[in-house]
Amino acid sequence: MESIIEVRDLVKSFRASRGIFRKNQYTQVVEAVAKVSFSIKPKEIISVVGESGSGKTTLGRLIVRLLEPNSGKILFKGQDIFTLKTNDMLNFRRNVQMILQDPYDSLNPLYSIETSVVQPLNIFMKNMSRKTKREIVIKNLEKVGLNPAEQFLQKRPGELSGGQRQRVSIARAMIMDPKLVVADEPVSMLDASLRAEILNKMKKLKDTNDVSFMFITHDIATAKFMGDRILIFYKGAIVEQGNTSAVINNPSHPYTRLLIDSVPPINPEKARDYLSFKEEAGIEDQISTSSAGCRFANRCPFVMERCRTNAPNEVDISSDHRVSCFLYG
Amino acid sequence: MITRRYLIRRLINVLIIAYGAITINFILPRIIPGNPVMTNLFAGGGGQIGNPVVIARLTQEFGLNNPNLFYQYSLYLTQLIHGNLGISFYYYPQTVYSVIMERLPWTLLLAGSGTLIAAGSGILVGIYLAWKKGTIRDSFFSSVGMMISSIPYFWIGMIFLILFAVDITIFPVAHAVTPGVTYHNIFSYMGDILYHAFLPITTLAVALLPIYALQMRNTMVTVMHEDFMKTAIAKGLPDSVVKMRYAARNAVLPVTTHVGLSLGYVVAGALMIEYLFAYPGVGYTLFIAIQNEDYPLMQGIFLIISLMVIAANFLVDILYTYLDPRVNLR
Amino acid sequence: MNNGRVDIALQENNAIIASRAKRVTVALFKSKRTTFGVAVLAFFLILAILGRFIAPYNPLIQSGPLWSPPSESHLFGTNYLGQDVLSWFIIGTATSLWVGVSVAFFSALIGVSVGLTAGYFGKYTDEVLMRFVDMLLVIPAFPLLVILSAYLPPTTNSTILILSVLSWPFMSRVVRSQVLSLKERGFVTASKLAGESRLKIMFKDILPNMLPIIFINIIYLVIGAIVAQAGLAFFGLGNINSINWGTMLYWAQIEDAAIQNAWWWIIPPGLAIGILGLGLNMLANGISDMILLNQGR
Repeated sequence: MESIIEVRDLVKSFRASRGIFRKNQYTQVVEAVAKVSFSIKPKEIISVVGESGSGKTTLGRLIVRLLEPNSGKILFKGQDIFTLKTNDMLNFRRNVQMILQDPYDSLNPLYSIETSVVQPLNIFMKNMSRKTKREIVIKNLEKVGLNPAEQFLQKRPGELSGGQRQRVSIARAMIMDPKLVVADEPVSMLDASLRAEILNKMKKLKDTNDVSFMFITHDIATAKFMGDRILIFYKGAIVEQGNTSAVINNPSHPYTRLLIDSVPPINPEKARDYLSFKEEAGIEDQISTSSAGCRFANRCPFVMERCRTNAPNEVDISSDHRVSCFLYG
Repeated sequence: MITRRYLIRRLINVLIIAYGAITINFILPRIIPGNPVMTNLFAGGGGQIGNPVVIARLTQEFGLNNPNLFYQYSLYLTQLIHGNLGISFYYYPQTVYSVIMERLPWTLLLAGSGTLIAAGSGILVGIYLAWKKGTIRDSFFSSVGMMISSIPYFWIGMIFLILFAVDITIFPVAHAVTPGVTYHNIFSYMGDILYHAFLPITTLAVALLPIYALQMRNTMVTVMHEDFMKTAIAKGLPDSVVKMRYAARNAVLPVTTHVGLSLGYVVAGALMIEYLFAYPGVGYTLFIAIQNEDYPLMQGIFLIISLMVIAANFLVDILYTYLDPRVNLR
Repeated sequence: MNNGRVDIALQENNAIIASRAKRVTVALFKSKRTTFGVAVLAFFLILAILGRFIAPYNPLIQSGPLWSPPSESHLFGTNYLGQDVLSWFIIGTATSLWVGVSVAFFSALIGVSVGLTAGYFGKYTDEVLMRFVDMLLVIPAFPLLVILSAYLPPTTNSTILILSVLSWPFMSRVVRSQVLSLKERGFVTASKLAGESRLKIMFKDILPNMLPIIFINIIYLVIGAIVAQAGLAFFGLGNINSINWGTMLYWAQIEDAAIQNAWWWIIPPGLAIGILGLGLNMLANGISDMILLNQGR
């Protein structure tokens, strides 16, 4: 099947000092996304897993073009999105949406729920009658579980709970029937009891609306629950990617194994021998300055001489499972 | 520590602002329709300059008969470097520069001591109010402070005049020294100066005090909400230590920057109060200049005062960065 | 979807809007400070609007003996020409408030435009504009005001123009920093993602969210302008023949009212400015507390 989005050799770096007149020796270049390539297929949920500061949010923001990269391409329907102008760009906005992390911040506190959710319709469906727009808004609010939707129309975000707000954000992202939705840790700020329901709603939307999700999370358990495919992100680079069951059942990169081992087991007694290795180096600074060699080398228990000088290439483990590690060749 | 690079950057910044003030001083009289400076000059300074030779000399020095503004501007800058601000119409034949320099010490005495007294006691009052935050006393004095800080300075002076110089004549109503007196020694001279300066300085201090007090109070209230304050209290430190060494010390530094920013108020207050008390400083001179349409003198006063405020601001800024270890020097 | 449901929804919504308006009003009067502020403002506004009907005498004609202290026929006494001080005060309220309000309006207009431009375009536009603003903030305003007033024709409109031109820099700094912080908010990102244009985001998402802060600074501008006008009038600048609180103090000083011990002539205008300043400050503080409370939830 043809991919919706194809990411090729994407690089994004930030300068760690501010000011437009000053470029001096103190300036530090942080590579948040370093030569990343992958693709997203239609009707697929791809989970991006990484710790905070790994650059996963930057990756998400690049895909919806909130940021411009230093180099590399993102192809949408065969066109590089960073070259799109006005009308093509609007068309891209219509098809690729994003759900933001903080539900308390992502709705304008001054506007009613209806005003916020109807906004894309006002932009893309200028000729539609107000009544039709309202009906579509109601339909979408009900789809994300806000029932009865009429009661929410004129409420302000301040009158809603965090879970309700995040549902509104989802409804707003879905209203133009996009092809891809990037969800940046959409449940991390919600109570644990609400998370499963919202995640299930998103999974259901994938089937009813023919939409793909790029699901960004720091929690590998959620990633496993959500994703058809998984992409393990470490310090701006993909260390392992593939089919969810393949990656979870046969974690190949040392970092993936570390992630899976750090999930608290349900029965600690039985799980003890499953803990295959202990992390000794500990967590070092999270700034991923560009350097030669594997980015995980300083923390890796299996580190070899060449890991520090050369960066490993991607190696196929099985048909849909690739890893970047010298342990596999 | 302050790096040399930081100092140089601040210095360049302050020079740009000073250059801006100098340029504004050049442009102002020239964009006003009718150009009162030249009209008045050619009319002999409102009839006060009787000497056509002087008029011819000024015209030449400032290039006033040449309509090319860039030419005039370059001459203006050259004359400025030599301290030539023109000749005062009213105090002819004195130059503007000498008139201002003669009066500047009185203004500095007034503004300087007024600011110091107001800032010092304002900070103490602010500490007291912040510590008593939420009590009736706090809201009463804070309200009085807000009220005083909106009242024009000269009004406060007028009330003081009525209270202390008219009904009960404790203090003189005008002048910086008693006219026509010869002093036996330096102490009686200084005593006379202080006696005359007392009401003007008090007026200025009373007018400025609420500005600093409210600033200190509000900053300290914010500081008192911080976690380290709870720790200090929980540690069982005595109240006086918590109040002065923890809350007040952290709040006082931001207030010093405010002292710099408030210099504009100080200047405005000093100018009005001098006029009210007929105190022979720059402010009283400015009033005389306005009454007599002495435009060169007005411009000169604006320029000198601006440059002094800009310089003082720079000094406060540098002082602040020395005092506050938290300031990020980039 | 049937029409009935939508109609019912509309009715319910109107009820919600009505209750929200009520809640804001209640919140405004619940705080003693804002109530005081609104009351002071209302009092002076009524004086300004109905002044000519309330004033007991024509302030420009002699209506009693010269320099007479407060009495039954002249509640605030008379001045050196035997004119009624109370009538001067009441009639003068209108001009003083008018100067305050119009200066606040024009400088808010300039300040908000400059602040939005700097925040919107950023980079070099921002750098240049803010350098200029910094310069205006450091150069002492009062001597500059004096010089400009001395050059321009002595009318109230000149005073309004001069004060407007010099009062806006602080507002522009506030607006700019608000734009910069609101730009980073999630709902602005959400609007961007929806495909909204930058200009519309500025006026629909960013500007409305800083209206309370703009309003607070407008209040400060009003009181600042009234005080500055009084200061200029005291120096004999502006239209000294107009009747306002500033010119009252100018004539009192020229005629040596303090030396004459005519406190009844001096106290009303100064005290009025003080009370108005206190009321407006309380209103501003109350509103900023309400903003903080709103952000807290």
